[in-house]
Amino acid sequence: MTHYILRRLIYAVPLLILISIIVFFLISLAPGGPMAAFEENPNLTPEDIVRLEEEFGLNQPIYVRYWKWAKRIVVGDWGYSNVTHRPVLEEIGHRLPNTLQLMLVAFSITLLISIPIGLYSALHQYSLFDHVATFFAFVGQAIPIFWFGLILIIIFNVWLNNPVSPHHGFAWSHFTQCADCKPLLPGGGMAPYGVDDPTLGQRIQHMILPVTMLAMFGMGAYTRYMRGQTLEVIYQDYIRTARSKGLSERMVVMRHAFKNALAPVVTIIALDLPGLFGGALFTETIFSWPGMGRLFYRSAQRGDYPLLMGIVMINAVLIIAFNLLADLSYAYLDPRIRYD
Amino acid sequence: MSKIIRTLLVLTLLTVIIAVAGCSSSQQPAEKPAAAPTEAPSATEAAPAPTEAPTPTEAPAKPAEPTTIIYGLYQEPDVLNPFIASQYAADEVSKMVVEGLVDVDPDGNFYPVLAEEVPTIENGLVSEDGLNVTYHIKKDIVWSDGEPFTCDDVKYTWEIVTTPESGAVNTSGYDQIESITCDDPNTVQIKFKKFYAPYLTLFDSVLPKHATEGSTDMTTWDYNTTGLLGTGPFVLKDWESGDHITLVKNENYRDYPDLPKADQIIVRIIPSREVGKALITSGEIDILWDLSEADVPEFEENPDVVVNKRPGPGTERLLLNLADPTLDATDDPLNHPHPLLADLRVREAIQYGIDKQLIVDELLYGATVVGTSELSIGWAKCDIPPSEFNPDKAKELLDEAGFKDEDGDGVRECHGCKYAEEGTPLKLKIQSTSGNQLREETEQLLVEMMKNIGIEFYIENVPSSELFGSWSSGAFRKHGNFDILMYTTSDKIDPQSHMKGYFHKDSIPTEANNGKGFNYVRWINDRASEALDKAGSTPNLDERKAQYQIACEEIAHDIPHLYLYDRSEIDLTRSNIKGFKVNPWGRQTWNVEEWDKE
Amino acid sequence: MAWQQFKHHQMAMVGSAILAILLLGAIFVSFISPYSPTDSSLRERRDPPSIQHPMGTDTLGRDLMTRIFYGGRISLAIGLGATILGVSIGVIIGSMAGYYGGKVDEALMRLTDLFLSLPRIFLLIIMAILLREVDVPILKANGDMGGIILILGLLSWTSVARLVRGQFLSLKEKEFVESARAIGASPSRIIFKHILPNTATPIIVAATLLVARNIISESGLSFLGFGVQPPTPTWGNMLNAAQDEMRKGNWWMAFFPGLMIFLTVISINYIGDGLRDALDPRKVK
Repeated sequence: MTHYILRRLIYAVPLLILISIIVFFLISLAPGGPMAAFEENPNLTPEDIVRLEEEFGLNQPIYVRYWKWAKRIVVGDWGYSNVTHRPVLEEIGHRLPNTLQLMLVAFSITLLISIPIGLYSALHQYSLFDHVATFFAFVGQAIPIFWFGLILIIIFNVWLNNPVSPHHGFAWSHFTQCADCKPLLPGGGMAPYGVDDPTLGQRIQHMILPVTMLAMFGMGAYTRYMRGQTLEVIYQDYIRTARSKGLSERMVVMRHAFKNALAPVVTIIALDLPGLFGGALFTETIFSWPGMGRLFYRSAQRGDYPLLMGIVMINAVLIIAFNLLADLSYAYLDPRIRYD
Repeated sequence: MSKIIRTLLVLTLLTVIIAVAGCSSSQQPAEKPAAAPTEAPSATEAAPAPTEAPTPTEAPAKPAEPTTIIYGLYQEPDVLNPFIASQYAADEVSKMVVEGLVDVDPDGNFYPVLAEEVPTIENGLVSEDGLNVTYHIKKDIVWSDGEPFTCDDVKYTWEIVTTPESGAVNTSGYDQIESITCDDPNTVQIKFKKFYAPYLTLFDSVLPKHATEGSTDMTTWDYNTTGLLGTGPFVLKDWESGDHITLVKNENYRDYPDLPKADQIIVRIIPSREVGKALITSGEIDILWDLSEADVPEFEENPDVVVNKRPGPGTERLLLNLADPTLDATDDPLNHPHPLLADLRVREAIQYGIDKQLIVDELLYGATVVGTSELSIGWAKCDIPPSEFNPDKAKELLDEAGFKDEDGDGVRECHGCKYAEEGTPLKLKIQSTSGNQLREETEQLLVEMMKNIGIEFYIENVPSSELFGSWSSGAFRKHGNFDILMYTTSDKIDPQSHMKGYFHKDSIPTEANNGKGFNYVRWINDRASEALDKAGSTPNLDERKAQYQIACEEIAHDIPHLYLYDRSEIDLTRSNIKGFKVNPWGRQTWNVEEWDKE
Repeated sequence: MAWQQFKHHQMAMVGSAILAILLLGAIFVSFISPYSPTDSSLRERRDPPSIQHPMGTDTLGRDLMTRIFYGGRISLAIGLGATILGVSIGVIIGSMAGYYGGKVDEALMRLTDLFLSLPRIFLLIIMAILLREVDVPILKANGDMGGIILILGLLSWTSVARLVRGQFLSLKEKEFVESARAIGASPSRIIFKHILPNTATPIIVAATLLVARNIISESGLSFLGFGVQPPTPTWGNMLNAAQDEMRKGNWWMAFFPGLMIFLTVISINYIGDGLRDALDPRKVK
């Protein structure tokens, strides 16, 4: 077992190096670059721009820049953002807690709802419940996620007013506009602006729409997956054996079916977890959530390679680690598999 | 009950709790250090007290709710230091904190800020040859931390900006200064090496010597972010990356406590204009920055929102490449012409084929006027008549230029044309920034208008960072690998560097000059270049205006740029916001001290 | 027999019917519709649904229904094209890894890991930008449609490769493979003639889901500004162009393209579901 883990870890090193090289070269191939913002600025003369390119070292060949970056990263120096001049780890550190907060809540809710539904659906295959659950699972996968988010904003922020607002009752502000109407739900951000110490209730209010958007998307996939895995399992011989031994249906389901069906689901969860750190670009963009997804997108657009490399490398390490964890958890949950 | 399911349930519940609770614990360490260095913000809570002094009876009941104005920007500033920031959005924020000696008002006139008056030749503060400029600083100006503001700060600003290793971006003009002398703390005497026409645009921001002295590498300063320090009406309180920037009123401001009227400005970073428009409709933000003419009708119908609009210096235009687009940054467009666009008759035909008025009336709801020249407003405004919409004339010109549709596919081909190979179809790529609805609509109308005269336009939009990419990143605009581009650029109150950068024959970006210059279309016109040289070398405004007129006429004749429509500066405010005044020449926060909320 | 099974899956049949209608509409729209999908009609901008325009008109006065069906052509072509490309690559890589095992397997699976370790959105953006630089006419056709098929195809092979590899690992030890090898069949013959047909079921099911996912991805690319260029309509870029219109109350511009994506994807999902049920050999009847 230890041997297996060690081997996997050793394999990870060249993989990480390869990833860093590929990503670094891809970034520099992409036109735009950190100077794009300056080019638009009428305050800058052409001379200023040429001078800046030299200062940023952008006129050096790509392998020289990569080598410089790699030498620093080995000793743990992640460098400074090309754009904000702040340390890469500080930039990431600002965003990571926000992302984790949103993603973990959404992920937990997704699992709490979808795993029982998937299980129940499978056990009552072709029942009305199963059909309805299947339908909604497909709905979740069939709606373009950004479109769903925009609809949520328009309905709950632009059209619907807060029923407890002082002057107006429950109203479609779209038709009855009023200056002091308060929207039913905030249209973005993590907490009310201008409030020094937001309450837990206010924070939760701000999470409702983005979490709904994220959960909508994930719920369908997990429900389907759980249902499929349970179906795989309940036709297996050992379930029949268990039944024929006269075990109660409840015991059969919980002890045998659920446990065995969950093993591959846990694997999928482990594989999906690193995605949580990367944030959800569409959700963050639509709901002004200051998370990793937007940070990543912005640095990709701006050619901010130190920051971009930082995010990609952290992500890659997480993916490799969670891959390993997935395999190990699989072995733990499914005694038929052994690594040696 | 299986153990696994129970553990799983407990675990998920735990993560929910930790995640929700984690936000409050994660925020605290972030707020503390941010608030610590600028002790001033604690004054916000105390701020209402002095204003309420005249009515002590009411004061103890409940301190009045502080006036908070939320200003929506769809771009997050990278850094706030005006000398290294490259975005307009950054200036929108820093202008609330940092002031300069003089500034530009909405009418395009300079007005004194920290200076007693604007130096001119008439009031004797500028020498006849324009080489010596004197500023008298207002009495008793202090930085927001209480330190006095003196001539030394101005001198220091010049010194640090021109220090090579400082990393300052915007140094043009400052390198033309020979010396600055401070005979007394309130008198700044500037001596230029040679005449610098836009001398008044220098020192629109002044750096605090006492707070930034030490490191000559500006990019490492705290000043760039949370340490921003100025003499302006507000001070920076904190900056939550990706989310918002909080500014509170400066108690050391020269007009305090009368001004600023608002207690707090929160700059909220919103992810896109579309989201911003939803948020101002629902009242979640008070002010929304930088919209387009196409947004005007929707919000004019909305009684809760005021549309603030004023013609600006920007003009939406087509850039027509005159050089062979397959070559990499050729320095010789005359011998390597664009096979189709190099023929003046083709460019004229394109202009005749475009119904600019239709675009203005339909897509911009008549909220602006058709574009005629580079300098559409301001003292140097060019006088150029609008182009004519005449498709028949366009067809004639194309026939004459040797482009005829002989294969009957609706697109003309070269049959005896000047530069292209025989049979080359008259097909041109038009590129703009993607995701901009107005531009995409304009392009689609252009495609139709061109189809009507037998030219095929096809659209290939790219994200703005790619279009405006730099020389070293190989951006196609700089390297001349395009047919037609469409975007807006704006000149400044002094148009010299803009005009010279875009239209002078020496401003063509090439390998030899390391991609210097903005003459992307590679237009060579000796008369225009000469006029621009003259305009930059005299302090006489009438003479300069006449030279710009010559350049504008040459542009109108040669059509390297084809002006579609003039842009306005458009911002939205909620109807209870007072004191907001659009300034097309500067930043919208130029008079932030007057902003108030009813 | 499988068809008998499939017929009994009601939702799959409904899905097939909806998809058939959309396909017919996409194919025959140019014969039926009196309107052009690209030419503006400025007097009819933003008209709500009516007899003349059953789905209303867009911001340039173009008939939305006509654009929807023309857009269906492109969107479905992207979904199918990218899936065919992705499945082909996945099958080749997966079967080579599974059949040869050892070093080949190790190398190909590390390649798959590499692909999975890079953020998908990052690869999308970088590839979209790089593709602009190459000037291959087939990729540029229909407003960069070819390029988008290539991008989405290159991003959708990994799951298929893993699936095929797993199938191969278990099948290659089976007797019929051993016997084929014993009579001296070439590896390519064994792979394509003997093993691959036995893996068809899960591949077909995975492929249907990929079509659905690629149609959704196309709309996401449009949202990020890397989609098919105007005036060529796709459901994704129509939806994206209507972002602002929903707020103004012009719901039809966002509703119908969204509905089309929704109907198509849900139909395909049900068809995939039906196929899985029909083709599953273990299923108890």
